Amino acid sequence: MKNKITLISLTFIVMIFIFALFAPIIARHDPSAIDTDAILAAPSQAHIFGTDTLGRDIFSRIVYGSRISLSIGFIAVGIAVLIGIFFGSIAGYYGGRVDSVLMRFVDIMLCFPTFFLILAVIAMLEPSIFNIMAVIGITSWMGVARLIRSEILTLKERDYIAAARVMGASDVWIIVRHLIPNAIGPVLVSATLGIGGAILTESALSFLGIGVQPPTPSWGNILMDGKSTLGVAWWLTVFPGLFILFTVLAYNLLSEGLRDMLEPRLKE
Amino acid sequence: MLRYLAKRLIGLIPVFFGITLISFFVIHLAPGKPTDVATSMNPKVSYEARERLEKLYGLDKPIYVQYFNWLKRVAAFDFGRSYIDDRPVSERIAERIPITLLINISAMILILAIGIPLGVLSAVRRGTFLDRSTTVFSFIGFSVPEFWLALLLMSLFSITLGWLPISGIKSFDFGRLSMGGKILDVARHLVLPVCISAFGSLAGISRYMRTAMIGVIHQDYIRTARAKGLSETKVIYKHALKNALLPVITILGLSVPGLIGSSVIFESIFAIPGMGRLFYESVMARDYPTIMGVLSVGALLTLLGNLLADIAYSYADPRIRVTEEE
Repeated sequence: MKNKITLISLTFIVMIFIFALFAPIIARHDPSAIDTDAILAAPSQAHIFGTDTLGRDIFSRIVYGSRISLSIGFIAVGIAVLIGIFFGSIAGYYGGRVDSVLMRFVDIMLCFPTFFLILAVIAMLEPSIFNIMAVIGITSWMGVARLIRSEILTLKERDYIAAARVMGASDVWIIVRHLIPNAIGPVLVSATLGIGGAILTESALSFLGIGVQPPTPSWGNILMDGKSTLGVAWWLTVFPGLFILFTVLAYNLLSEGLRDMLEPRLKE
Repeated sequence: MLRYLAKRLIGLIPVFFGITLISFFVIHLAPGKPTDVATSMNPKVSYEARERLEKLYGLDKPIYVQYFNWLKRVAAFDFGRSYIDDRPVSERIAERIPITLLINISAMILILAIGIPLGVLSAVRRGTFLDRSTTVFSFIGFSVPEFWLALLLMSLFSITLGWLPISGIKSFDFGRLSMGGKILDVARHLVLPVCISAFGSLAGISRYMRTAMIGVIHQDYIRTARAKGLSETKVIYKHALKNALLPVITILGLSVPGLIGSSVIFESIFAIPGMGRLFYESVMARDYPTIMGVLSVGALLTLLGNLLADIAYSYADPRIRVTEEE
């Protein structure tokens, strides 16, 4: 049962990847082509998910929007993982004062109403895709840092680390070649979970109008029109939302599957 | 107990400084100045006038001097005046904060009142239909974009069914209602925002509660309690629950910043004039004093949440009190 769920999630994620890669082939309409004859058209043969307030094809906008969601998800999490590994491994390996200062910093970051900070930075810098990725990454590395640190705390006492040290390996070499590769499992699990989180944050920012800027379609900014047409055009709200929900769900379930695979001990 | 509390309280002070320091630098180092809005768009404003304006707001000084000046004023509970309407920031926040607190505290109560029993039940009745539905519910709760859920429920309850008001916090005839009518009116307006903001954390808490409970049920002291012949209710609710609550309390404390942060989204969807909306408006207008004020109050609320979590933790686990006092 659990394997099946993981497989279905993976299939869905692969489908979104195909959407993103082959968007021009899959989308039957230009995502920004305005069609004044088909404003707020209900789902039909020509427009399977209907059209928005400017007559643009929703399905095509969702297909192109998957490019944004995926790239923001992966790059933001990539940034978070790199920062987290950097601070976490230093804290775990060196311990002592370095460790307590760094972990104090993690505590501070965890107390931030993060969404406020993201909002402030994006609004002040200008809401470009790159800025959104960077800000989400910079505000979500703390979990990874804690994970890596606690893994390294136990790993560094092992014999093979002592052996490496005796053979004259430098600290950097030990951390990069021996400790991080062995501590990466839990990070992979939390990173997969993080991709879902980053997609959610981006969609919320775009929905508020300070994320990805129109006319570039993103799942969040398609929903922007949804509020004003509530009760008039349900398709405008339902479809993009379902795509966000299923994609995030797929990443969360995949992360659960990965955890069972990498840490069979925790399996219920 | 008092000493333990005092220790926690002192420990929170550097965190507060850290948060305000980072916020201050991030906001003030961003390119562009609040004076640009008033000056660079306006060809009549001379370079000298702009400099005078910057001087007036203290923006001409180095950033660390600005931060220390800000700290000095905050120590006297003065957040400065808003760049928008020149009213004291503390006054602007004070009029916006009650509604945000009301929503967040109600959401928190809802999370506790539903999430914990749900988690306990699904741990006790592991593998049953109830347990499986809770698991499905918690995964959806983790994954659903809350603003989307808000839109869907709004269209169902406020437009299609017409049971609840669509937005705002008061009806037009609010002034003419009786006291009870007023309370009911506000409650009707807040049902959706509270339920939706509780939804995501509710899913998380019930899941953590379940995991913690499953871990505890297999401990030796639970077997001992059963062997003593205690009733199953007593074993679960007295012996197991108290221990399983510990990790959940920590998670609850950590969920406060999330709740505060998402108030921006809810307040803008439901047109609620709270702190989140105030923050959004100030960010858009680059109203530095108000931005810093709201961020500090947000940080303060988060720390308060953590402190409450600490107190609850030490209440549930006396070992903490004892070892920390030594």
